[in-house]
Amino acid sequence: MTEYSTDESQRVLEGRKILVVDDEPDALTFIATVLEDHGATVLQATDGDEALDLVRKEKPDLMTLDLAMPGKNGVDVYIELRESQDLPQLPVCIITGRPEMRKLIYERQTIPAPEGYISKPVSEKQLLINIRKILEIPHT
Amino acid sequence: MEDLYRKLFNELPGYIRAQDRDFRIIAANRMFRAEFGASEGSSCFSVIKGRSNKCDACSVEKTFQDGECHASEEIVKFKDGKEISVIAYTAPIRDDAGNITAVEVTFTDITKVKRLQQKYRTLFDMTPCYIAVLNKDFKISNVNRWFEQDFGEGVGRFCYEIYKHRKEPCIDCPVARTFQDGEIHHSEEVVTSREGSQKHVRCYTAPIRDPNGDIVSVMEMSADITDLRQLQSRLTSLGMLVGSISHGIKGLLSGIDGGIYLMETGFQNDRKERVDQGWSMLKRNIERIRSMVMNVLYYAKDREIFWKSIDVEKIVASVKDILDSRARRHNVELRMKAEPGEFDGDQDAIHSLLINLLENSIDACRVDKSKQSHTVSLSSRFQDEQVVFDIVDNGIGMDQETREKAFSLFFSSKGAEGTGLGLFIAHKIIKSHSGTIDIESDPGKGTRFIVKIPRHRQTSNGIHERLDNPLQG
Repeated sequence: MTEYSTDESQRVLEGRKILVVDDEPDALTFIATVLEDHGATVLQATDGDEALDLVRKEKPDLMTLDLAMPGKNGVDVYIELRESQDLPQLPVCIITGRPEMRKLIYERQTIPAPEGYISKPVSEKQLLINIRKILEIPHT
Repeated sequence: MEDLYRKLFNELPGYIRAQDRDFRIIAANRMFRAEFGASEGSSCFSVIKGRSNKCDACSVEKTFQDGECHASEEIVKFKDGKEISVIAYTAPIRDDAGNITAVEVTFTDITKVKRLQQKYRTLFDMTPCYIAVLNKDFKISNVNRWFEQDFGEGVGRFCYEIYKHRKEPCIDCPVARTFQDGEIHHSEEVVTSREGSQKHVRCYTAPIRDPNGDIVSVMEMSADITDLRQLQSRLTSLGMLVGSISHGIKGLLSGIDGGIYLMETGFQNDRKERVDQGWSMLKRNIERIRSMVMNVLYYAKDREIFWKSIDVEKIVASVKDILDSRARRHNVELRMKAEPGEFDGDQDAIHSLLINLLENSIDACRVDKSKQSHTVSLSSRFQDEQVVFDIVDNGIGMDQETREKAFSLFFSSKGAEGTGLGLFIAHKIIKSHSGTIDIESDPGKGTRFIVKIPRHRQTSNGIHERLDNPLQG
């Protein structure tokens, strides 16, 4: 049984702007709520184009990125972001239920690997540990 | 001296006679007379074959013409009616001037050899695989009946031409290898029968040697393993199904985790709207696991159709109930209209069919960002003894490739959420009801599914059967 606890006093992500990208509304709500509960300001996108648009306009501190999405998928988004000259280069945490798509990114020699990777289904704890690690927020 | 020759002639072990040019028997030995009856003066064709005129290919005639010895295989009849197989050897008898005055004919009984030959031929023919005997040029010199049945005559033609419809020998041919090293070789091949159906065969080759030990031909024996390969591919797709379902369930587990998180934190912090949100998230994902499991069941076994009379209005209303909240969540307006009436079908299957098609349409709207508002409509009507379901959405639409593959197993254009089962199952259900489905779709504009199902159950002989009693069938 998974234990969920939200110590809302421990708002470790206070002041961080995080973009959550997922085409599956329930996954999106879950990730966004956990991050918000820990103090983050959360932006949401349900497809690749919307995600890149928000990166450009809002300059978030981090993006969680689902890989399998209809239309422009997460792999396309990541490659476009890293190959772009003018998009802000924010850290990215891949969150996917399709681990086989990972190699489409990791096997590309020309771009750096993403800063984080989590397999679905994702737990609250796992999500926070990874996000804190990427944003270099130490445990108190 | 003449007496000695006469005795010798009489006692020779074989059926021997001499004939004149008019096909009359002028002398016969004892064995001939004993089995074929008194015969001097009678014509050979009447005595040995019971014919009233001479045989078409007559060796006696040939020997009279060319003075050579000839041999031919014949079936002849004893006086008691018993037939035997013989080889007839003919030789000229000349006078002192060298003129042919008579022809001597000796029959050697080969009935036993023939019977043995027939026995082996039957074994060859009845061996339950395709057998062909090939020469060095890959030309077929003999085939068994199984081969003939599925690939045609074949003798005199090239094996690659018959088996694979090729114009040149196959690369890495086991027959060629057997010709080279005299060993038995095997390979697996896909061949095409004369009707055009593809068969997977396991092919073995063995050398056939002459008395000197030289390989004169190679026998190619191919066992049909199509069933085995089909089973294998079914197992492969079963493996893919397990993979695809696991992915699907993983996605739904995220939703369930999310629902639990929202409910727990909602209770902890006394936030009712969050508890409600979590609760509906849980219900939704459990409902989707349910429909996924139903799809797997439809895929996994050929479920017997439980025929009953279905009330269209009721089934459409029940489908709307299930999909309403999903549609609302994605800002899709769901419109349903059903012409009152009933038709024959499997209620659960038709229910799954409509859910699968409508979910597909709602998803097509969900991912379409090009329009402000989205609508999915289902209307049903009765037309020409058919029930017609017309499902229209103004979602993302399908390109040609998606349209063509829409009903393929495990094909999905939906990203992580698609198991590639929904439309495949929908198609399967429609087929099991002797119905049809058409797709009209344009990328960016939307999709229309038109499903037509016979209103009354069709029996195997094509007669419509009315099902007034729901328990019938």
